[in-house]
Amino acid sequence: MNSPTLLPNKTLLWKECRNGWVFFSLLFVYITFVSSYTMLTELSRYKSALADGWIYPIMVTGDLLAFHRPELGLFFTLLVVVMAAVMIGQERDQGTFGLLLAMPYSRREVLYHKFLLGLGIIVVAFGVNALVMSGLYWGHPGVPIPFEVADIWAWALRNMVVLAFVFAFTVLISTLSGTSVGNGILSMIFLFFPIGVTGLIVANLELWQVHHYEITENLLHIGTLLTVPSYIIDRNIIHSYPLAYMYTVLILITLGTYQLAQYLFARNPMEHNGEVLMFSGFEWFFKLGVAVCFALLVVPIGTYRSGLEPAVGVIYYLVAGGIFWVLVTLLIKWRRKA
Amino acid sequence: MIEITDLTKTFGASQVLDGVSLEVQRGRVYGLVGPNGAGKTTLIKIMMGFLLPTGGRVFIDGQDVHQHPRIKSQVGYVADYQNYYPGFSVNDMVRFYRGTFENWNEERFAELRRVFDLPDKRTFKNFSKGMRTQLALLLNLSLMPNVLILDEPTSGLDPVLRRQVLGMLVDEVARNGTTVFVATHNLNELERTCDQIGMIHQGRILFDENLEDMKQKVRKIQVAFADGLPPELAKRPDVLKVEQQGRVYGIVMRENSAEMLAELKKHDPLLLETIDMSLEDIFIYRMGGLGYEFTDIITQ
Amino acid sequence: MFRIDQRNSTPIYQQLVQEVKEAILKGLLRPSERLPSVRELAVQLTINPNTIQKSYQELERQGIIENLQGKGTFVAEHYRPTKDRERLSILQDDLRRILVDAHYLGLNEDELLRMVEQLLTELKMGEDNR
Repeated sequence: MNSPTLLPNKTLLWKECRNGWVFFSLLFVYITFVSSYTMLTELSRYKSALADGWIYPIMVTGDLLAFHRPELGLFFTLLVVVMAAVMIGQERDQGTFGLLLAMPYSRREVLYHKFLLGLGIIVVAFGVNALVMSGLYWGHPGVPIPFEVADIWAWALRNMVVLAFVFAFTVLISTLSGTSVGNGILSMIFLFFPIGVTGLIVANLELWQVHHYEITENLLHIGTLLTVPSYIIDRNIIHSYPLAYMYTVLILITLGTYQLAQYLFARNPMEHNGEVLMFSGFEWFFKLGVAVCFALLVVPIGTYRSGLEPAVGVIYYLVAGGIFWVLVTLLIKWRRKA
Repeated sequence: MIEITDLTKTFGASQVLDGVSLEVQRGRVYGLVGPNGAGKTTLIKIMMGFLLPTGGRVFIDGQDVHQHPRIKSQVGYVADYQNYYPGFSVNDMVRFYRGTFENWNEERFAELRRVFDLPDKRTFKNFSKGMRTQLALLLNLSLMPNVLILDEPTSGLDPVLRRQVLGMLVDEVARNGTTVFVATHNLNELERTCDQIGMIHQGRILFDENLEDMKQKVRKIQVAFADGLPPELAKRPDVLKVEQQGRVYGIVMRENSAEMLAELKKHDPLLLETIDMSLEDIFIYRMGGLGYEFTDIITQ
Repeated sequence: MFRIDQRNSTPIYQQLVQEVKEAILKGLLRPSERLPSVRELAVQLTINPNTIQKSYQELERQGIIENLQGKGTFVAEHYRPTKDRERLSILQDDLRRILVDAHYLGLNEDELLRMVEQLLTELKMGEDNR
């Protein structure tokens, strides 16, 4: 194979832009709205309040700015997941891979350009907004803004690094799953898997009336640590470790995820586009995972009111697991092509 | 030129391609024929690098298509159905092709653009099959291909368009000596345009020959006897098939057989003559001779 | 001008040779007149250009057309087809076919010549032509 060049192909980039501009705009607009735009509105409110003779409590009520609102981290994650899921999934759904991959581009090139654009839009969205906000900050020296320029850039950097991982991870999942919807759902599930599973385990332990504070605390901490989006949802988790170390690890993991995605994409059996799983070898693992997770989820919810005895409980878990196993099998079969 | 060596493809439990090997010399027109489900489209998708083979390799102009995708900048491809990006317009696709294929010829494109009546800016959502095929030809001929691969290019088209497509193909060969590989159902078109014919059935190439040679190798003898055909003659190894209508027998022979004629003459026939066979007949009998029952080729 | 009938058992290239000859016979093509190029004809008839090429080569071999380098293919300048001459050529082709069939029927030369003589006697042509 020719030595891969890092220089992007203009035409391929243009094509990705032309196809993805809706999501790119959505992401950019939303991030701008909750950061630069909010800051601008706050500043103008402060100034007009000042003109009227009273002090507007700038960005104190509710901490309007993005980096004080945990749920926004969730939205960012969601937007990036959808963007990545669609970038790969739509080509499968619409059958356009049949055209693209028959062209003189290698699969590596194709995926590389999708990455470039996805990561590019993330960097641009946060970078541009950080610049604008820094400008706004320096442009209003007298105003008691409750954060520094350093905070702005810390926020931007944190989001860029975390969302880059989210993007890479979703692309990786997209090489394993055959539909946009599947890509999106599976990515969200696996991104939040660690905290989800530890939460479920803790809930089930409580159900079985096992109370051990230290264990549950540790479990939850590990779960949060392994759930990368939590770093932008609750930034305290990332601050309990040296930042340079955390970011380096994250970036390395992101690169590794990228390479793994390239590896899998090169081997993607395109005949399975539109099916739940691209590689049928994963079927057992997938079904088992779904059965276990959903059983852990459903049983505590279902037996909430009534108490639970160990013997009966085991049966509940097995039954729930069995039901979900069957459901997933049916789903896979439904999506499978003759 | 195209070279395929021992290509196999399994979809789960079924073996769609089972050791396909063929070669197309530069400047020749190769027609791949076979019933639905024989593996034509799968073969072509593997040739274009979209599907990965289970085994075997595909070489175009000496390079393995899967390892050196750059070679596809010399290859035009018209799929059985063109899945263009729904949000794109003709202009967008042209821009995409222009930037992708290094040999794109703007003059050729302008010349061809005049021939077709395609809207510049409308998106593909409502494009009919005919329009998509026209665009595919427009794009793929403008990139000045060395090799042109087509999957049922005329199927589903009205007669006017069909003629246009064939005319353009033939013109391309005459003008540029392009190597052409076309999968088709249509024996009429095959006979007119192809030099070489390959028949694929259940994932295997049953025969692969020059059209001229094929037609020479099978002959039909029409003979009538007052008292019926002597049974030992019907059982000869070079007899592919015997049809009977009343006293008249149609005997299909594997090769020109002066021997057979001499034998028949000995039995004092009422009627004895050799006649040429249509391509469809040749196919049916060749496959019968190979042990297959074949009932379904479409001619129009 | 030229028509190819696929249902006819004669090979396409041979049909084309016949068509060209007939066109010349009918006066549709005159000596030194330009014939359509291989490419033009291939597109017109939607036929493989190699087939057209083969016909043109055969016609050239028979001295009916000539290829002037760089200028195109023309009806031979000195080819003066009289109706008889053209008919003779067609007759020769027919006769060739009959002889081939006769061979496959197992007729040898003597039997064939005897057949011809018999027919000639029947038609009283032999006498008239002496």
